[in-house]
Amino acid sequence: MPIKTYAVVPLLLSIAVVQSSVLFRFSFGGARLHLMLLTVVSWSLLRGTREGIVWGFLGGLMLDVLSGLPLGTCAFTLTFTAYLASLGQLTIYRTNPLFVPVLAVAISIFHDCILMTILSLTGYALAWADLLLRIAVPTAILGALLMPLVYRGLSLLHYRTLPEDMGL
Amino acid sequence: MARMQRGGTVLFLLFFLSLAVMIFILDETNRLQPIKDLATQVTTPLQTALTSATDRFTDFRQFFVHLEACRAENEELQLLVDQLIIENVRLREAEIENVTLREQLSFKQANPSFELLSAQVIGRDPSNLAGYLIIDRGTEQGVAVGMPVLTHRGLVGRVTEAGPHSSKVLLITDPSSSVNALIQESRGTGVIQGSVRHGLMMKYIQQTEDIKAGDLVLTSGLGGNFPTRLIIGQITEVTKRDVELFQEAEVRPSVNFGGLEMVMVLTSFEPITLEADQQAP
Repeated sequence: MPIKTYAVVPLLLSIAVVQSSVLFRFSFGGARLHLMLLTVVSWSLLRGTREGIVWGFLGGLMLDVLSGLPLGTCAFTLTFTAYLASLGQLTIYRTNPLFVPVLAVAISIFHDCILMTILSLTGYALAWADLLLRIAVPTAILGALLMPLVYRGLSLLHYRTLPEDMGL
Repeated sequence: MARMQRGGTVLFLLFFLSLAVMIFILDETNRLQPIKDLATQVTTPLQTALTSATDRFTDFRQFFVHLEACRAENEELQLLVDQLIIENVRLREAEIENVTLREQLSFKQANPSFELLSAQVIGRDPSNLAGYLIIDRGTEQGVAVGMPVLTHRGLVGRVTEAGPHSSKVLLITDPSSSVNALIQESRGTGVIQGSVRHGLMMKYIQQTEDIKAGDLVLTSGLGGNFPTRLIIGQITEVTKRDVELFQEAEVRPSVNFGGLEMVMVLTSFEPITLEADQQAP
């Protein structure tokens, strides 16, 4: 049974609420779990560019609303990140067990760089080096550690909601 | 075909990116405020509930995180408390000693003819069967056998043995002790003896003496073992029988023998031994 876009909204909204209300409180050496990013990247790898972009846009928009950032900031960042992650779906390295964690590290740092660029352009004063070293890199490493779990969880959803013409 | 599909994907991406930028611009110009308000109203209760639940969980987690720190801090504080208790005891002891020394000084000033040597009680008869105590002064400090030992309150006893750095003092409450005494009011004399039951008993008081409870008892100086006019105690009860040659009196010692910590040895007093005087040319 294919998954409809409107059915995604409650899932992404739940993740956004948990992300903005719960996960930001838990810091592990500067690292914070970015569940929405891992979800969008996983879904992009599983379902390709179009669905990844939609999830990235909707998830980002919800985060914007809930986190207090200027609307569109996370939406833009996650949409672009989802597109980049979806390119990994086409590589021959995808079957390598290290592929998903390594991609998570790269995408996470890239996501934070885009976000910081947008924030800098909109007038936020950011200490780039500190933010990269103390937050972005630890967050990327934490994301890489947890990415296989998120990916596996979404794989179950993916196989249960495959479009009929893609069914195996 | 693939190129068309890729072009379509890029257009799809650009559409959403443009949408995001447009939302951003609209938001910056405050045109999306009603929508944001609506979204906030919907999500705020959920966020509040989750935040509250997270707070409780965080508090619970913090409890365990801080448990070890609390334990270490508790140990440090316990150590500090122990040190403070020791210091407090030391200061309290110093205060008590200070009070005692002040009293001794006051006594010394009131009796300028006395040469007094302060001594600390370092031992006493543990069985309470014999009335003696050990002081931390001996012959090296000028203590000699027979010297009276007293406090500012009155007579304690006399030195019966003197070592180089410590001495044994026989208390006047010991049954083997006897002190010639004088009743201040009536001027009647007698002998104070230690008593296991009553502490002190004054014996050999002439029947003609008019004595009563409350009279002060002092050393008479007779016999030369003690100087005159040292307070011994106060009469509490008089026993007078017509068939007896003498009357007796129970005397409450002026010194609290149970709480003795510091005493003074009267080093300027030399007891007179009658045998020695008789042998002298």
